[in-house]
Parts: sequence; C-alpha cells; structure tokens
Amino acid sequence: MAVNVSTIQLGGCSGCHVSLLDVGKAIFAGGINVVHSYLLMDKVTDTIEAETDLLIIEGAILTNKDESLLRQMAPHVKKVLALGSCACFGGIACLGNLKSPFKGNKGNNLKEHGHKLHPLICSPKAFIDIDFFVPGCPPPADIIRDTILALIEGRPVPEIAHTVCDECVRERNYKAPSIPPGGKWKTLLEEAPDPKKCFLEQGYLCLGRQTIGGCNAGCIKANMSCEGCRGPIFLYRNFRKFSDKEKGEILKCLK
Amino acid sequence: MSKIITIENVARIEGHASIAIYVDKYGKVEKAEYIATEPSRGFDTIFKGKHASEVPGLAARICGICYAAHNICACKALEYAWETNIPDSAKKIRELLLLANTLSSHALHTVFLAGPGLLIDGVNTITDLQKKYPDFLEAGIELRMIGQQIGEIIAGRKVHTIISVPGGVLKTLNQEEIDKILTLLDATTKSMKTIEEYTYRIINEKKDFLLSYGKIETNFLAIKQSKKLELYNDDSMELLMKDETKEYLSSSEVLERITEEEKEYSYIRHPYITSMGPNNGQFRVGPVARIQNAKWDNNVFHKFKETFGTFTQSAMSYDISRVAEMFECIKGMRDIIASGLDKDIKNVAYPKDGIGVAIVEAPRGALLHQYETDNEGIVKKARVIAPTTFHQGSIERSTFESAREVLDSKKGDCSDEDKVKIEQVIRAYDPCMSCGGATQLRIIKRQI
Ligand code: SF4
Ligand code: SF4
Ligand code: SF4
Repeated sequence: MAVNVSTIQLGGCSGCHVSLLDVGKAIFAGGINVVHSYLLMDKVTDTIEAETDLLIIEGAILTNKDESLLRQMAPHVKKVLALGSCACFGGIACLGNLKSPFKGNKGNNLKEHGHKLHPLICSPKAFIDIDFFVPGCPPPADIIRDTILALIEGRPVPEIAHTVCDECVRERNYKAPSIPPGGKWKTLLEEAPDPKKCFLEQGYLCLGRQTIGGCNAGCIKANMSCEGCRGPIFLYRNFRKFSDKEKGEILKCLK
Repeated sequence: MSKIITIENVARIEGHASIAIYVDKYGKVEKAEYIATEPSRGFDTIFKGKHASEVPGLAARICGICYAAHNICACKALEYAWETNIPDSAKKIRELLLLANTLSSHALHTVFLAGPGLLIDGVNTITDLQKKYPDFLEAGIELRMIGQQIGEIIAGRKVHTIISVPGGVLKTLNQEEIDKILTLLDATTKSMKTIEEYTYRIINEKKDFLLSYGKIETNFLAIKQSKKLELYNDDSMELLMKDETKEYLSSSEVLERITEEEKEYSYIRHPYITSMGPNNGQFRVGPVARIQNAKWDNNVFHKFKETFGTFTQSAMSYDISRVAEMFECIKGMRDIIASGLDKDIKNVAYPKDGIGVAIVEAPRGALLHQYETDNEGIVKKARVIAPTTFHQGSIERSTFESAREVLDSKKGDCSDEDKVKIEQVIRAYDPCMSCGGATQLRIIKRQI
C-alpha cells in the first residue's frame, strides 16, 4: 500500500530536503506517493488537500505563517516526522532568539505579502504533535532511509541511543578534560589537530561525548571536531511535546 | 477594473517567494513584483559577537544546496581580513568541494526543478517525469548522488561539508580516496550522455522559446573564466557591460561599486551598480555570466554558443548553461586530482583587527561575504550578498516580460497552466531565497 507523504519547509536551509533526496532511488522505488512538496511539484496550494499519512517537516517556526500553516495541516495528517535539528530543537534559526536586536524584530515586517517574523522562533513541536524525531543538520541519508522504510513497513523506528564518541575510532585514554587546559580550548584556527588522537585530549573542543550518534562520526574522520549537530544525548529518550507549563510560557511571549 | 494576480509560493525553487502581477482594466500587465516572503534568519546578528572559528560552519547553514560555497567564502573573507595565506593543496581541496557541490546542485536543478517544465507542458509533478522520462530522472538522481558522494569522501558528510577553516582545510586525500573519486567520476559518463541528449532535444524543440522568453538586458558579473571553470580565484572579477565592454575588479571593489535598494514589498534588497542607477545598473551572475567569456571545450558549451551566440541576454539560456558547466565540473575535478595533492594543507591563522571581502562562485553565481573582526577574532560585523540577492531585480523584470507574453491576451484571467508558465522563467535563475535573505541590511563602513 502506498503511503501518502507531504514535505514542508519552514524556516530552514533546504539541507534536510537535500538529505532526503540523498536517500536516492529508495524513496522513488514505490511505496511512497508524494502528495505535497514545494520542491518536487508544480502546483501546490498552501493547504494540504489530499490526506497525508506522513508529514515531513524541515525547519523551525520562523514566521506567523509557519504557525498557521501547521495548525491548518494538523487535522489532515496521521503521523508527523520532524526532520533535522531545526525541526527537532529549533536549531540554527533559533540562534536568532539569543540576540536582542533580532528578538521580536519589530519594524522589519513587510506591508502586504510578507509573513511576519514569529515573536519566538522555536521548534514546530510547539504547534503540532510530532511522532518521530530525526535530528541532525542535516540527518544522514541512511538514517532518514531507515526511518522512513520502517514507517512504511510498519516496523519500529530504529533507535540510536549512543553518542558520537561511541562511534569514534580515535585513540584516547578516557581522561579527557572537562575544563580546557589553561582555561581555553584551542580553536581550529591554530595548527591542524592530530588526526589520530581524541580532540578533547589534544585541547580542542569536541561535542562528541554529549551528542546523539548515528552519523558514524563522519566529521571526526575528516579531522573536524564534532559540533553537536545531532543534538544532546540527554534529550534522546525525552524527545517529547512541550508541557502545558512550557506552552504557557511560549504563549506569554507571543502576546 | 485593474486587478492583482498573485502566485503564492512559487514552486520548485528553494525557499519561499510569491509573485504579484498588476493587470490594468484592459487586461494588460502593468507591473510585476517578485516578493521574498520570508524574513531573514538574520545571520549577520547571529555571527556578531561569535568567535571567527565558528563562523564558516554556521555560514554553511545559510543554504543546504550551496553550503560549500558559503563555508569557503566565509573562510576566504576572514583570511583576507587577517592577511593569511593558505597552502596550494588546501586551495585545490576547496576547489574540489566547490566543483562537486556545483555538479550536484546543477543536476538537482536541471532534472528535478527545471527539467519537468521544459519537457512536459502544463502542470506536473515528479511522478509525471518518472513515468514519461525515467532515464532522464535516473540520470539526475545518479549525478546528484555522485556529487554528494565525492563531497562525503572529502569532508566526511554529504551535506554541509565544512572542513574549510581560516588558514586552509583540515583533511587531505589519500590514494584510496582519490581512487574512489576517480571511479565515481568515470561513472558519470553514461548519465551525462543522457542529459546531453535531452539538452539537444530541448534546444531543437524550443529554440525560439529559449531565445526570447523572459529576455531582458542587463550587465553581467562573474569570476574571470579561462579554459576551465573558475570558481575560486577572485583576484579578477569580470564586469561585462551590456555593450560587451569589460572591466576587471577585485572583490572589495565590487562591493564599493554596488548599492542595495530596499523594497517595501520584499524582504530581499535589489542590488545595482551605483553609478549606472537602479534600472541600467542591474547585473546578473551565475552560469550565463560565467559562460559569456569562457573558453571551455565541451559539446554542450559549443552547442550553447551556436544557439545563443557569443554574448547572450536570454534568460532561459541559464537552463542550458548549467549542463555545459556540469561537464566542466567533472573535467575540473579530474584535472585537480591529476595535478597532485600534498600533505601541507593548513597554516595557522592569526586573528587581527580587519575587514575582509571575498567572492566565490556558488552554483547560482557570485557569492560575497564580508566580515570585520577585532584582534581576538570576534566578529564585529558581517554581511552576505548571495547570487539570489543579485538576481532579485532581474528576476522581477523577467517575470514582467513573461507575464506580458502569457497574460496580455487573456483579459485578466490566469489559469494554473499560465501560472506554471510564468514561474518557468523564475526557475531558470534557480533562485534560493534562504541565501538571498541571509543577512539583513547592515552597511559596514570602511574604516580608513
Ligand atoms: S537542520 Fe540543518 S540542514 Fe536541516 S534545515 Fe536546519 S540548518 Fe538546514
Ligand atoms: S571527544 Fe570527540 S574526538 Fe574524542 S572520542 Fe569523543 S568524538 Fe572522538
Ligand atoms: S560528528 Fe557531530 S557534527 Fe558531525 S555529523 Fe556527527 S553529530 Fe553532527
């Protein structure tokens, strides 16, 4: 039985859609029927007309339009998958919240057609119930493939409950400092790190210990320390909806 | 009565954009507006106050399609600000990443975004393409994959390949990896042949359409091309005027020459050459700007020149020029690998007080990054002007031309087919709206 899939992009960079395409033939091989996607179809309305079995969301809530779009879509979709760290946690877009001149972004809204910047940039989970979280910036294609195939075939979604360190093959003596030597981490502006030894033990900041694995420590193989793009491991078992209290806080910000 | 026809959410482009077409009471098109509907994610504010070592990785996140260009351009701008040189092999690895990224981006656009519209008339989806022209779709999937896989071999991940840092790159290639890349490059032959054949077919069937649809007159700006596809060296930027006179500028001179005009209806500014004014001073970037004075050698390139002439103002020619560039990407990667890579890939970068402006050719055209840092390497100001920013005015004018052609005889009606047809010229520019509005307008004053 074909599964009707819709994809939408909120405030993101398209990278997650690109990673979805990287799955390659497996997504076109049948089993999936794309019913709504800005990237793959000509005519799309703002609303989902066909019933959607699986809605794939990329990006964070950036505009008021994003919020109303999700609210409108919610009754028409059966399951929701948050693709990428922007959709799971807020990601890059959320960095805008940290800076006061950007916060609320008053006076930069367009007169007519433009969408208004959302007062609080956040994960779509504030406005729609999300069933599956696939973090990563973007998530590696094979994780997306395994997840979607599992969903189509009705199997449980594969679990990844280990860290990037568990996948990393660098030499280490398990005495990595938690405070940088001399009070300051080295940066990658300095000489290139030794490609064989643990970054932390060499004095470079590496987020592998705190980060959800599954990416096969790809960056580390390319001598780039982990920047934690798959999100913190402590959230792994706790991917959840916002509590009512948190929702209240968000609504307060929106007023 | 006059009315406004709006096309919400232009499809098959990257990001969010709408069009408003103003039609007078006789049904004639008066004006078209190309509207970036989504506010900037504010990368300038995000960068401000961050240490420069974090910037290139974050900059890649401006765009999930041309990440390599953003990552590398940010590094280059910081290197200019700090007067840091990088080793030769680091430059080569960066070029490899740019070429691989361009190959997959062009394959994505040619087959998934522009292809269906050029091959099938009317409203359609990717499933229609799959039914009618499976070999074309297959070739596109294959070529995209190869570009992405080469990126993964070099940088450990397919999307957001961020191994460039100020001072060089973090990883070189060993023999095993080089062999893998060469095998992948060899595997492109069959798919490229398919794409090439479809390209000839499109040219033969739609020559007049390609020549005239949405045509406008502008200037062009690109990195000076040679016998190969130049994406990295911005020592000499070629500004090609409408009358075919040329001028060569450095990247900071380019920035001095342009003004960005804010429009009240769009989140993205419209840049133009200050001395020539907003109408005359518009310029286009990207594959057509690059191909104008290139001396490449591949069949599609020659066919392009034969069809469009040595200098072209056609808008739809963008769709053909990308295919010519894909051949150059493959050739370019082979040449770089043949020239050899060594282990010297990283210099230490010492932050200092300074401003740096760099340009890199992203798949969609010239991409400009500017940073100002303090002695510690903390970013004080940042600015990004992406190819799509440069294209705003041109897209708007091309949309106006195509809307006139499609709608003038329709007495103010606009069917779905008409909308799709108008969107086609927008898609030729392959706009990427999330790049275009990467930063809000903040002018960095030169401190002399
Ligand atoms: S998670 Fe990363 S790749 Fe995905 S949309 Fe956000 S920034 Fe882009
Ligand atoms: S801290 Fe980083 S380098 Fe060290 S073991 Fe963990 S992932 Fe590997
Ligand atoms: S190593 Fe870290 S930064 Fe790299 S892909 Fe994995 S989680 Fe993301």
